[in-house]
This record gives sequence, C-alpha cells and structure tokens, in this order.
Amino acid sequence: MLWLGRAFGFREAPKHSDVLSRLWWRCCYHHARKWYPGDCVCGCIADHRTGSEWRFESRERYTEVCPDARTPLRVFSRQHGYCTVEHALKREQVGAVASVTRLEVPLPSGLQRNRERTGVLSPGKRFRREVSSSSSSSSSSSSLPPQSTVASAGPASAHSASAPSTSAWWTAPGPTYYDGRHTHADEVLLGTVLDSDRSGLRNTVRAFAHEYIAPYAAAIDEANRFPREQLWTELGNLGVLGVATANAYGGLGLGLVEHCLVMEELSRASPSIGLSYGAHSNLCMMQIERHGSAAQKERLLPPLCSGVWVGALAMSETGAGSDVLGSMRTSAYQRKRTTAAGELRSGWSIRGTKMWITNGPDADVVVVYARTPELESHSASTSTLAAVESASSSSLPKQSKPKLTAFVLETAQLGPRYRVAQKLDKLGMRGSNTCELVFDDVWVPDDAVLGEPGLGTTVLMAGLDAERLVLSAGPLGIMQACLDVVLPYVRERQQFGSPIGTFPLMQAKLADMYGALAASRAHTFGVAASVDKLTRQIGEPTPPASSKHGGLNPQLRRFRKDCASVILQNAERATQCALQAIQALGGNGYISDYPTGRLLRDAKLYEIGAGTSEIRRILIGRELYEASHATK
Amino acid sequence: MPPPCFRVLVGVKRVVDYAVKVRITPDHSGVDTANLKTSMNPFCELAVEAAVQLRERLGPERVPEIVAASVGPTACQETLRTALAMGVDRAVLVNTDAAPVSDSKAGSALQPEPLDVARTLAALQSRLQSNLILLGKQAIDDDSNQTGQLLAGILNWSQGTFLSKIEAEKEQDLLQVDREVDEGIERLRLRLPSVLTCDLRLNKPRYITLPNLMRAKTKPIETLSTSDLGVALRTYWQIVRVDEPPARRQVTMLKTVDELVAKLQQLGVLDRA
Ligand SMILES: Cc1cc2nc3c(=O)[nH]c(=O)nc-3n(C[C@H](O)[C@H](O)[C@H](O)COP(=O)(O)OP(=O)(O)OC[C@H]3O[C@@H](n4cnc5c(N)ncnc54)[C@H](O)[C@@H]3O)c2cc1C
Ligand SMILES: Cc1cc2nc3c(=O)[nH]c(=O)nc-3n(C[C@H](O)[C@H](O)[C@H](O)COP(=O)(O)OP(=O)(O)OC[C@H]3O[C@@H](n4cnc5c(N)ncnc54)[C@H](O)[C@@H]3O)c2cc1C
Repeated sequence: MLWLGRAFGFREAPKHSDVLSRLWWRCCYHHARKWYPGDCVCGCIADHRTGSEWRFESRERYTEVCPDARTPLRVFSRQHGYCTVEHALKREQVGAVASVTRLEVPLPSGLQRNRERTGVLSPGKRFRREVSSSSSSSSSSSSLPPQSTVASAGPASAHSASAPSTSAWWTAPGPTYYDGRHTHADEVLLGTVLDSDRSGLRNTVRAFAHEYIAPYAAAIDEANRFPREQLWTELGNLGVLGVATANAYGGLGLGLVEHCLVMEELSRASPSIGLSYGAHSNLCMMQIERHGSAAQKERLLPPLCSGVWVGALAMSETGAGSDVLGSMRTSAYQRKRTTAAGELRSGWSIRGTKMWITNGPDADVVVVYARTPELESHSASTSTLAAVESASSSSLPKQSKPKLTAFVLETAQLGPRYRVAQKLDKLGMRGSNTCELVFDDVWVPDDAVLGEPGLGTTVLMAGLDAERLVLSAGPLGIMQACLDVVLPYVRERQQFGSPIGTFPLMQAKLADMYGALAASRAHTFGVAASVDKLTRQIGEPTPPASSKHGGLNPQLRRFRKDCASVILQNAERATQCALQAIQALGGNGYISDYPTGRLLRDAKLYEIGAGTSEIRRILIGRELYEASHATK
Repeated sequence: MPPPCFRVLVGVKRVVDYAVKVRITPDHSGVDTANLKTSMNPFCELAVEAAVQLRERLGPERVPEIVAASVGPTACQETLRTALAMGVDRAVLVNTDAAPVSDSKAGSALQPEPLDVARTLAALQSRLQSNLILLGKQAIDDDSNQTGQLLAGILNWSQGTFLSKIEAEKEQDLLQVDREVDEGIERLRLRLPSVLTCDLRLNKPRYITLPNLMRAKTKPIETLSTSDLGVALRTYWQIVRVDEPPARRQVTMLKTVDELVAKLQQLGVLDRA
C-alpha cells in the first residue's frame, strides 16, 4: 500500500482542486500499475493550516489499512471513468462543521473506463454501507492510534429540529475501539457457561454490534437520538429482541444467560442502545410473556420480537421513585364506555403521569402500573413481601396498602388523552430516549389488564429480579468497553520514554479494572445460570400471580438478593472503571474525542435506574437479616 | 427440457481473523498463529453469499443444492457452521488432521497448498457432481490467489476470476460475469460447469442472525479424510523467511503545490509538463 499523504503535505489551501485531484489520481495510478491486483492505493493531501484534508483510496484492502486512516474514506477505483473525490473540510476545534465538496474528475484520456463504483472504507472494516451525505473528518497529528473523529455533522445540525435528511447524523461512522472479536476476562466463563453454542451466539451478536452499532455510539450520544429506523428492525432480524421470548411468538426461547450475553455485547458497543434493548426485551416483553394472556401475547409479542414495535415499561413517577409502591399516584378506575360499534364495554380509565420512561417517546407498547383504589377497600392486602422492595412503605398507614393493577397498552389505540410529554435531556444514556408519559383519563378495555386486576404488585415484583439481572450485563459491557479503550492506549502512549502501560502505577489500574470486570462477569453469569437451571427444573417460572411469594416460585424467590447484588456491584464497579479509564488516558480521557467520558456518564445510570444503590443495599441487607437465625 | 440446475460447491477457508494483528515468530519462519482468533476468509464469505443469492434469485428448483467444503483441521467445522448459518444446505470437512503437511524447518503443521486444495476440491466435485464451484479470489493469510485457477485447470472447466458480478442466463447453462481486471471490467459469458472466484465488490455478505445460527446446528457436516478422496498432501514450496512490513516513512512537509508537483516529477511519479 502506498500512503502518500503523510509523505507530502503542503501548507497552502488547495485552490486548483481538480488539477490536484487529477494529479493525485495519476500518481496513484502510476504506482498501482506495478501492484498486485487487490493492492490498495491511498493518498491524502493535508492542509495543516486550515485542517482540510484530502484522502484518496482505491482497491481497498482491509488488512492493510493505514493506521492514520481512522476516518471514513471515499473510495475510488482505478476502473472509474472518472474519480469521485470527497473533500472533507473540518474546521478546527469547536463546532466541527463539515462541508463536503464532491468533485468528479475526468481521467486522463485513453484511460476511460466503463463504469464507476464507490464505496467507503474505514479501518478494521471490510464492508461498509454506502455513505452518501456529508461526513466530517479530522486528523490529529498525534502519534496516538485512537484518533479523534467527529462522528456526526456536529452539534449544531444534530440538534436542530429540522434535520434535513432523516439520517444525516447517522451516516458517518466513527472509530471503534475493539476489533469485534475479543473480550477480556473470558477466562472466568470458559469453564462454566460459555459452551460452543453460547459463544457462537455471542460472536454473532458481537460481530453485528461491532459493525452496525459501535461506529455510531458517539453520534447517538451527541445527537441524543434513538436510531429506531436504523437499528430496531435490524436487531429484530438478528433475533436478539426476542432472545428470551417463546418460539411460538417469534422469539428464540433462550434463557437469562443468553439474554445477558446479548445485553453485554450491545452495551459494549453503545450503552444507550443496551439500555433501550433492556427496557424493550426485558422490562416490557418479559412482563407480557410472564403475565400476559394468550391473546395479549399473540397480539403484542411478534411485532416486539421483530422490532417493528418498541416496548417500554412505566412504573416510576415524579413522586414515586424509590418508594414506587407506596407513593404511586397514577390511578385507574373502572368505567364503562360505549364503543364506536355501539356496544357497552367495561374497562378502565387511567389518570396520572409516569416519569423517566425509557423508550417512552417511541413506545408502541407500554406496560403501566396504576393504583386501583376501588379495589383497595374490598380486602386486606395479601402481598406481604411486596413491602420488602419499598423501604419506606412503612411510612404509609398500614391499613391502606395500595392495590396496583398492571396494564399493557398499545399506544396507537389510546387516543389524544395519552401524551408523550417532554423528552428528557440526560447526563448519559443519550439516545436511549427517556420521557414523561401523561395519561389524562385514558380509557382502555378490560383486556388491557396484565395479570389480574388488583394484583399489579405481584406482577411488578416478579419482573424486578430478572430486570435487575439482565440490566446488570449493561455495566459489564461498559467495563469491557473501558478496557477496549485503555489497553491499546497505554501500549501506544509514551511518556518518560516508555509506554505508560509499563509503569507499575498504570499496571495497577489495569489490574483493578480487569479484576472488577472478571468478578462482575463471573457473578452475573453465575447467578444467571443458576436461575436458568432452576427455572428449567421447576418448569413453571411464574406461579399464578396470586401466589404468596411476590409472584415468584419460592425457590426462585431466594435469588432476589442475588439479582440485586449483581447489579449493585456491577453498577458501582462500572462507574469506578470508567473513572479509571479516564485517568489512564490523562488529558485525552477528559475530552470528548475519546469515549471514556461518555462511558462514565452512561455507567452512572446503573446506580440509579432499576432501583438505586441505596435501595438495593437495603433490600439485600433486609433479605439476609430476615433469613438469618440467632445463634444460641 | 427443464432449465439447467446449478449444483453449487463453495470452498471456504479458515484463516486468522482479519482484525487480528499477527506477530512474526522470533525465528522468522512464519506467523505465530497459536490461540489467535480465526474466522472465515472474507473472500470466501463473498462466495457463500453469492451462492445464497443465486438461489434467492433463481429459486430452489434451479439451485437445488449448495454445499460448503473446507480442507483443513477439525477446527474448520466452526467455519463451516458459519457457512451453514448463512444459508448453505450442508457441509463437507476434508479433515487434514490425520495427514498434516509438515515442514521440517518450521517444525509445525502447515496448511495444504493451493495445488492440493484444488485437487481435493476436484475429487470432492466428482463425488458431489457439482457443476458450479464458487471460491474466494484469494485467502487473506497466504494471498496465493491460485486455487480457483488451478481447480479450473484440473477439471478443465470454464473459469471466471475476480468477479464483481454474476448473472445466470434464463433457461440456459450460461453465466454472465464481470471480472475486475486492471484495464477495467471484463464481461465474460461462461458455459457450465464453471469455477468462479469472488472479489470484494461482488456483494456484501449478510450478517448471521441468531435464528439462522440455531438452524445451522441441525444441518449436517460430513467429514472425509484426504485419503478418502485419494489425495496426498505435499509441500511444493518452502518459506525462506517472513518479515514485518517496513515501518512508515518519514513525513516531509512541503509548502506549496508547486513544490509538490516538482517533487512528484523528481520522483518520476508524474510526467514533466
Ligand atoms: C435514564 C433513566 C431511565 C429510567 N427508565 C425507567 C423506566 O423505563 N421505567 C421506570 O419505571 N422507571 C425508569 N427510571 C426511573 C428510575 O427507576 C428511578 O429514577 C429510580 O427508581 C430512582 O427513583 P427517584 O429518581 O425518584 O429517586 P428518589 O427515590 O427520589 O431517590 C433519591 C435518593 O434518595 C435515596 N433514597 C430514597 N429512599 C431511600 C431510603 N429509604 N433509604 C436511603 N436512601 C433512600 C436514593 O437512593 C437516592 O439516592 C429511569 C431513570 C433514569 C434516570
Ligand atoms: C481541560 C484541560 C485543560 C488543560 N489545560 C492546560 C493548560 O492550560 N496548559 C497546559 O500546559 N496543559 C493543560 N492541560 C494538559 C494537562 O496538564 C495534561 O493533560 C496532564 O498533564 C496529563 O498529561 P497527559 O494528558 O499527556 O497524560 P499522560 O501523561 O499521557 O498520562 C496518562 C496516564 O499515565 C499516567 N502516567 C504518566 N506517566 C506516568 C508514570 N511515570 N508513572 C505512572 N503513571 C504515569 C498518568 O498519571 C495518566 O494516568 C489541560 C488538560 C485538560 C484536560
């Protein structure tokens, strides 16, 4: 391969651009003639004063991509009748506005060829989707390999409401920091859960996530947009959305281990996509699968499996977060209504708001919990264990323990009284859309009830264990992503004349990060495999919702503390790991060209969502205390 | 007369993954492949994709069978599974574990050379009665770019190499293919039976989906040995020495376009005006 740009730069802005590109084409051609078919010609003219850069590439050859070629390149082939050159101009520093000029340069006479073909090549990548709109690129003169790349068209255009083309923010893939093949700390799984089927599954998801998600993670974060059109049906097609859903409804019918493997790989590529995936495939779909009627499952699960629909679960409210059971205000009342067909149907009218709902803005199906006060007066609560979840439920007068009912709603049928309020602007997990949902006396028929009326608490509680376990693979992916960035960096970055990875203090950091990841991975998959095994033995994961044990078989019930422990530990370790990653990158760790800052922002969510660390500790401590005996 | 059928055989090779940074062994005898991630040669992926697309276009009546074959150690089963998950019907592993090619100098088992792979595939063809063999144009490990051509020679079949397009003609046993050659695109019409080798721009291999991966587990992989096929593996070449590519050259900053032009002319890259 010939990499010309680094050999000859020039300081003057390129004025006679077509002359230049012709010149470059000719010199590339000249060299290429001597080469073996399949060899690659790259050229780059960099104007270091304005930061503009020209890159040329032909006959891509992925094994030999120049380490400098971190940015996507327009490819032209020697066979073109003309070459298409994209001239990407990057204004230095702020804004990163990209302007792309497209030139079509006739080839020197006698060399006209019969067709033109372009493609885009980026490092470590073989086949990239055609990129047609603007891309911006930057190239730092640093000797470090993970080069900064502005992945989208810049904040100004990304945030503008009138984004012209649907996917301008999506088209420019950024760098990825792993090769899509390895993870660290696999050793802890090899002898246990990682058999050949599962590693095949994991490799498949990993290859997909590496190719189709990771390059866009920075753009997703920057634009704070959920790439529904770009990804969701693709994930459905890949089979991951229904990984734990029964085959009958279009799923794969696998267990928690597989669900966690997928969650980890998606989160490694983009924690935001991982979170949205968790809310969709676990929080929403598993609750429907577990408690839904056959009719509900047949209606709702197939489009959720295929990714045509997006699912969400709405539990929290502005006034009801940690104390979700005790303080829930959203209520549903039994109301009859005459339908368009003239028949009188009984149903429910839901009133209230739900806050911080992942996937809320995009949701086609929402599982909602609401108080049903009309049912409360009839009987005393049977659910004793529900109180365990809510540390402060004791603050409620004992006699008025709220009775909840779970509903599963198709948002398209709710009418104007259902609204998506503001989309929330978040510290991290940007692009995993979160919003407030408003139910302004929304009427739903009886068949929207999930489980039985009045037994919403058990529905809610039964879902939380699996939710915590699956979500805890999110921080695992983040820790893995931290190592993906840090390990190559400390190898390349030199200070005091040696790679910083040779310094014992740095190696201590690596050791801590690795240990945290390995412990978390072993813990997560250990618990997941145990729950899976037990579930298979019992054969009936969910007894009728009226069961005494918080909706769970008593044998599975004892994993509640373990599921909470896994996510408690993983979440806190991931935040620490991301902090360490920032530290290991020094000044680069603190700037947004590198993903470490984003990883920290994303990691922090897991200490808050699905129960805060404090609530998890209270829960675990209480479970242990209550199960213990005094020694005599 | 019913339209002619394509009985497709696809060769797939297991290679060190393209993303792995390989290291040269200290004695310069080769690349250290121990514990490296392997995967299907990307050009072979193109061939599998081409076969599957051929069936999608022509239907199962005209493409009744697609078989993938790999010549190599037991670990090639993993590569064959990938092919099965992409849509191949069944697979044959020609296992070389029992008959490793050994090279006294390197002291390690080498992979079979293109001539023997071609002979093996030719023997396999006569068992399977395939009339269309699809291969990658080359493997990314040894970059030999020989197997397809040798195979066509051994079988005395028509051949189309470096393909960027494959089209089957209606109702005839003819293929129209575009070859990427230095001068441009060469369009050929080939009569079956044919050997085709695939180049990068032919297609974009599909990603494997989990349902297909699970389905692939139920598809059969038949194992044969080279002696079953009457082929003896030999070494025809000897690797003298393997080295890293030279490090990148020093950067020279030039101030103006004129300087650049002068420099290029001086280097003989550009003709003097
Ligand atoms: C990005 C994101 C996505 C989310 N997605 C969803 C979703 O899809 N569906 C959904 O229903 N909810 C969702 N949530 C809401 C989430 O579950 C709540 O934010 C969480 O339960 C915490 O509740 P809170 O925010 O009201 O905090 P609060 O309950 O107000 O807690 C504030 C602080 O007080 C502490 N605290 C509270 N009670 C106690 C106590 N008894 N003892 C000691 N400390 C205590 C907490 O630990 C915390 O540190 C999401 C939140 C975020 C940020
Ligand atoms: C927002 C911001 C503002 C800044 N402002 C200024 C400014 O105004 N003026 C200015 O001159 N600079 C400025 N800097 C640069 C700052 O001083 C450097 O980033 C800092 O000194 C760290 O250097 P580095 O980034 O090269 O990290 P590196 O030196 O590459 O360090 C990377 C990691 O290696 C570790 N490490 C390095 N050497 C050793 C060793 N021998 N033993 C153990 N560990 C080692 C470091 O502790 C760190 O964890 C700024 C940086 C930032 C992020």
